Amino acid sequence: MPELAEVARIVNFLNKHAVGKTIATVKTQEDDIVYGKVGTSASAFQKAMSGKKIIGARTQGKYFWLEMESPPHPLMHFGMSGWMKFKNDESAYYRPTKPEGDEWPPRFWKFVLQMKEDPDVEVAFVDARRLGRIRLVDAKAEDMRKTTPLKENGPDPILDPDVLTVDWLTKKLRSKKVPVKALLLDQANISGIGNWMGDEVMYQARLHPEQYSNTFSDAQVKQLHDAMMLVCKVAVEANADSDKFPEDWLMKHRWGKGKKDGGRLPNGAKITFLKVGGRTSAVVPSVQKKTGAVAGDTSESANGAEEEEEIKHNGGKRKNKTVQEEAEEGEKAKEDKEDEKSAPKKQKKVINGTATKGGKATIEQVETEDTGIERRNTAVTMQPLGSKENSLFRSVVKFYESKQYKRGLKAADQILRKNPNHGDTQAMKALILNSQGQSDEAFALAKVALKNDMKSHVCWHVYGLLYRSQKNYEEAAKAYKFALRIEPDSQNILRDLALLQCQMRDFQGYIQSRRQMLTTRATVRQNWTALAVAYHLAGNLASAEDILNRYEGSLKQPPPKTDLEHSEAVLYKNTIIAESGDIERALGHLNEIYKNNLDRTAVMELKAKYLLQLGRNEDAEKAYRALLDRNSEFRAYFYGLEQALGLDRSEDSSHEALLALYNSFAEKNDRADAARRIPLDFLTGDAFKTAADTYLRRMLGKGVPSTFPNIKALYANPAKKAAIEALALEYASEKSMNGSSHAKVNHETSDRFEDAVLYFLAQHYDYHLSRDPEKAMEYINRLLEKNPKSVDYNQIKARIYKHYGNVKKAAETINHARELDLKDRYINTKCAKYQLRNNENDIALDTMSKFTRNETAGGPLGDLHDMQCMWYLTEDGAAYLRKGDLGLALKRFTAVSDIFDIWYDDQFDFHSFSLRKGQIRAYIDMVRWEDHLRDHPFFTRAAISAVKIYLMLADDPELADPSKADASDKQNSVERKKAQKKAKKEQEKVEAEKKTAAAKKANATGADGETKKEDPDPNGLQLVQTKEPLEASLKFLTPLLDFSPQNLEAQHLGFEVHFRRKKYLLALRCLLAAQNISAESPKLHEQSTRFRKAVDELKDLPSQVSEVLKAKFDMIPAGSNLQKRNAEWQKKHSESADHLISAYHVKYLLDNSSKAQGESEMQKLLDSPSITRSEATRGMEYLKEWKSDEKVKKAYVEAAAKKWPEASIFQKD
Amino acid sequence: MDIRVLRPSDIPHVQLANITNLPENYFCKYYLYHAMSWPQLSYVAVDVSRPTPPHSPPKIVGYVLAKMEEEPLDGVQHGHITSLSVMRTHRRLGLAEKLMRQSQLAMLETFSAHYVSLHVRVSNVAALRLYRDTLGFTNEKTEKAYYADGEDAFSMRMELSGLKDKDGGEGDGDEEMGGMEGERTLGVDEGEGVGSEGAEKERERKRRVKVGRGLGVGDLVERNEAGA
Repeated sequence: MPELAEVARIVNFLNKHAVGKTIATVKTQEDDIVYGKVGTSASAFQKAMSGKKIIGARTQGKYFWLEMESPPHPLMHFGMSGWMKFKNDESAYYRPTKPEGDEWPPRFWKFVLQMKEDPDVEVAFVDARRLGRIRLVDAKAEDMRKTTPLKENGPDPILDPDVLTVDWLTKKLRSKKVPVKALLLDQANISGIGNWMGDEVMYQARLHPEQYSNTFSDAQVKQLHDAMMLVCKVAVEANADSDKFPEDWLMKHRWGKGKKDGGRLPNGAKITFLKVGGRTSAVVPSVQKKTGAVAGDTSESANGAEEEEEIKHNGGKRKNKTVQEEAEEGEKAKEDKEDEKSAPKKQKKVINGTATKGGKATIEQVETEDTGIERRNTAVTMQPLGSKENSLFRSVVKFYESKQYKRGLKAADQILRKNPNHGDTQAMKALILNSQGQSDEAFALAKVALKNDMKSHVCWHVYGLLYRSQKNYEEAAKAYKFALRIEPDSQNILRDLALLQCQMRDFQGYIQSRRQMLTTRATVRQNWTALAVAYHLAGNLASAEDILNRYEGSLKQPPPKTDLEHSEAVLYKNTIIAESGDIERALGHLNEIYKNNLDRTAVMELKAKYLLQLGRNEDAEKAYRALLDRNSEFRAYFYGLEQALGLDRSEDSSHEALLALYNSFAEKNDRADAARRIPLDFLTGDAFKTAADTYLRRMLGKGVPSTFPNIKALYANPAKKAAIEALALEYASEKSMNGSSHAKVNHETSDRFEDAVLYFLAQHYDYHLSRDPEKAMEYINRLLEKNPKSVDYNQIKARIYKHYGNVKKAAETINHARELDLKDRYINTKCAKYQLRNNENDIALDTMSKFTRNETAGGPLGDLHDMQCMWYLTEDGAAYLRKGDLGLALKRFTAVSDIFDIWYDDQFDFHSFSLRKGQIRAYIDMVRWEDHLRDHPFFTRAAISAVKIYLMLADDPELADPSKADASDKQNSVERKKAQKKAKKEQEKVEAEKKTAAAKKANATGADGETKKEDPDPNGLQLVQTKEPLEASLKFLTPLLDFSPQNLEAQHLGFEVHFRRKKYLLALRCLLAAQNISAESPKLHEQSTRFRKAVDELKDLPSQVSEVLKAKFDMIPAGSNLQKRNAEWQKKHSESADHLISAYHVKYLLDNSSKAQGESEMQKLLDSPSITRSEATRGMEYLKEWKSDEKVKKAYVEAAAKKWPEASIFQKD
Repeated sequence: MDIRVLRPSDIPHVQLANITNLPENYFCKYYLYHAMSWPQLSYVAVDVSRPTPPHSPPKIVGYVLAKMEEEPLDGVQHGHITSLSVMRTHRRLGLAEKLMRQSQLAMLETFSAHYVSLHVRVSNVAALRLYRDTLGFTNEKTEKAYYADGEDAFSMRMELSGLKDKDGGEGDGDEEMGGMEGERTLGVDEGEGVGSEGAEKERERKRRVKVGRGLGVGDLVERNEAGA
């Protein structure tokens, strides 16, 4: 980074080429960091500079500015990578220029100035990493140094030797307790010294950079002062040309790091590197000895009660703008470095151009935390290594971080050959092994490492990292805490611990860690925000707000409007205020930040919401209208507006006004849908009919195929359903009456209308609330006659078959639709789904493979797993379950659950990433979503099926034997033997294939580029062969009951599991929950009766259990006559087939001699006009459970087949 | 159908819509990466009228997944459309267009994007019609074998300056609260809207001219450079 000397060099060049000349043209490039972060913009710069004469060029420290003929003057610094380029003079650069140097304007330019007098002279400011700053200072030329920001910077060793005296330095050093190098580098103290000059000063003074500033003797301070003045003077005089620096300067040799003869001074003295104040520092230990306390020695003082004080102190101190900038820059530099790391991957994305690959590349970017294993200071190590091994160890760490695992292992082994018990090396080796997927070996070795060096924070840290990678967060946290006890100042370990605590929702611990991190680096906004987030998540809103306020209070001037981090932070604070319930204050604060906030949608929404909550209806109305002007397709805005206007949909008297309101929106925008569709929700009677007519004619006239899905919600109201049906039929008859009489011009539109009407009617009669499959079929067939190649028509036909229960024809028809448009994945997806419904697992996978990445490890199925295609896994599992292949079924449902685990872990990286991005509200939203992730129906459905399978396995362990799949249906022993033989052969074949496959792709990789482990149980055999199916089911059942307690089926299953586990109280809890959801549930009737019977018979229950049962289980009183009760219940529900089936079943359970009666009742039930297909299917399942005769079952199925001739489930095949 | 900003809890169904409709798929974390980096830019179309049990997640029938280019090769701040799709059952309702417009407005307002870019399969006629004719994208170049299956992509872009309101929004001295929002409409999907889409495209094109105070010469220069 350009420091005082390099900046002086550029000023020399500016003097040579630019001073005294007039700027003819200014080209600028907008940059909201380089200009924007310091309150200006490229356009403002351009405006200010154009046509002006340059009077002079001056410096102070790392800053330099052009003195113009009149203010403002442009004041700049270069950050890490900024520089000035001269079109006519390449020598301005202090390092040899690279070949691409003659490009003009040069890469990464921010502005280019062209001189009037000499058009060849062009000066460009370049900055690749955008850490430089360009600002305009509106002050008199002579006042520049007395104006912000220069006035906040310390004296310049070259310009201000009379200020920067030995005396001054002595006072400065003794007034603080920080590592001395950090003090030198802080621009608020002294201007112009950066990292390399600081190291040179320390080396020339023969002092150690880590030593605390207040520990030096007078003589040492003098040494330091002289060295500083000398280094600055010599460097400036040499014009920052390092070739001209004295040979004995450290600077000339430090860059040899890693080279053959590098790392040493010409006299052989070794150069080591360590971190001071976050910067890499070169030190020559042989001459730079510590003579006083060194940073790290006094760690205890930072803890406890002093902590609070320290935050305040540091927070207040941050008034100095330049200090803050430095800190920002440091942080940014780190990010940039990380971005560079991922750059090659990004290029790959462009080359391959595939979105999936792109996804991966960017994910790596999310994970760009460095691994954070700290290179141990050799001085503190418990097990010292020789110097050669020491550098080898460093390279092990480096290899690990750059994922060069093989080389890392090699280097580690080299150390271990000489030092076989070196704990740190063993730990690093373990870490590498773990990254290669050898986690067992890794753990074993990490344990050995710890045994060898219990006092090494590296060993503990690694141990924690291993646990973390196993997702055993609690153990990981413990290990980190041990590491921190040894190395309390390690920011890396502290950060790792903090992230874990957040992931584990240990918010109290998180607050503590975040507080400590803030104490160490109070200049970084992120650290303040992080602490506020910790408080917020812990529910402490007041403290969260207070922390945010304290940071804001320390800002001397408001950040520029373009500062997105600031914009988000204040909006975040606003949501915290609102969450605390004080809407009045939230609105007040919102008004303050409203104008400049960058998230316009958010501030507008919040404002409207607050105004409405506060009852300021007039203003709320305006606010909602403004929102609707931006987006008129969001019902929440319309509801807000209605409320603000005092209109209530449930009151008929409001309807006229409401309709007028919506009409006014509809007129404004011809393409608005919501304004036209919403009135149908509240209008009734004739008004509804009129509105529906207008709406339907409009949509159908345009031929919008999605008209039906858009209005079907209205069918919940029978009157509206009837009205819509009447309208649609009217359109249809209108059409066929005058279809030919229309003029030719209108033919196309009327055709379009007619088709849309027929299409609408086909969907209408297929919809469950208005179902008439025959009519639906008739309409769709009419359309297909006209246009047999329509994908949409064929799809609807397939759906009608599906609703008939004819899964086979449905699959055939949709496959036909698919073949009509092979490039459309939607129809392909639906086709695969219907094939799965028809139990065609292999065919469905083949269909899916038309759009999957089949080169992925595991082929199409592997890709579907990688891409987390839940619907497919669930339907595939369901098909296997229907076919009786419990292993594969369970395998798929487990895969769904695994994806939820991944989703939960996905948040981990965002605990740090989001702070860097500054998008805190979105992050909070994500954390809260993750907390109830598993209430998602994707999980619920898979979990319910999985629990059912475990129950089947608990009841009949034989089912775990794959050769007995469908055994219940095929009692024939010959057939079974055949099947067993076949299965055995297949098993052998699969294993042989597996072996060759494994040999072929030893390096099979998954979507994330990581090596993919071969699945040892691809068919789920191990899953089903569990010895404890009930315990295994808890993996699914527990989250099911925790997150979806309102799911009736979940409660029923919970009862079944706990009842079998003899956990009577848990079973009772499920019964009570089910009763709450649906007191008349047929299943609940069965279960409560079974439960009563069972507990009445149980004599040796622990007294506590029976006490609770007595008190809480009152839905059936103890000692009831269960048969009588069942009979009453049956009578009560005699109209419902579902209830009757349960009643028959209970009768059978209480007295199995009633079986024959139950069977005939069940059979008779099929004659009931109201029985549905699914009820009839349920009846069939009970007959199986009763082990009824084949004859009985056959009669039942035959009768059902007669009633539902299309339904595949009752077909014999 | 509601059009609103994407929330993390929408992701499962957005992922479902994506893998149902399109060949380019992503795992959850990639969606999260968008939602955590540029939460203002991604939008969803939600079928709110669908009768669903309480507590069930919203039914997503369309989405646009968008981002800002982090290291623009040309040095100009711009947005990028990662993915956009609408379920076949909900086509022809104008959802894709409405999603895109909301996203573009946010790109401009929150991130000062100058333009938005995207890739589209050369064979995807329906999408091309939307981007080019309805929204006003122009084709920059064709990228050979951009997609995994070897198909070429059109690399398209659209300038966003036309979305800016007459006042430039952040004009000085405009103390009146909320003065900007009324004017910050897209200004393109209003009006008669009859006639063919081609005619509409012409009208939009003409509107996309930068006029009015608050925009200095600098803005124009910047834009020229962006094009260069």
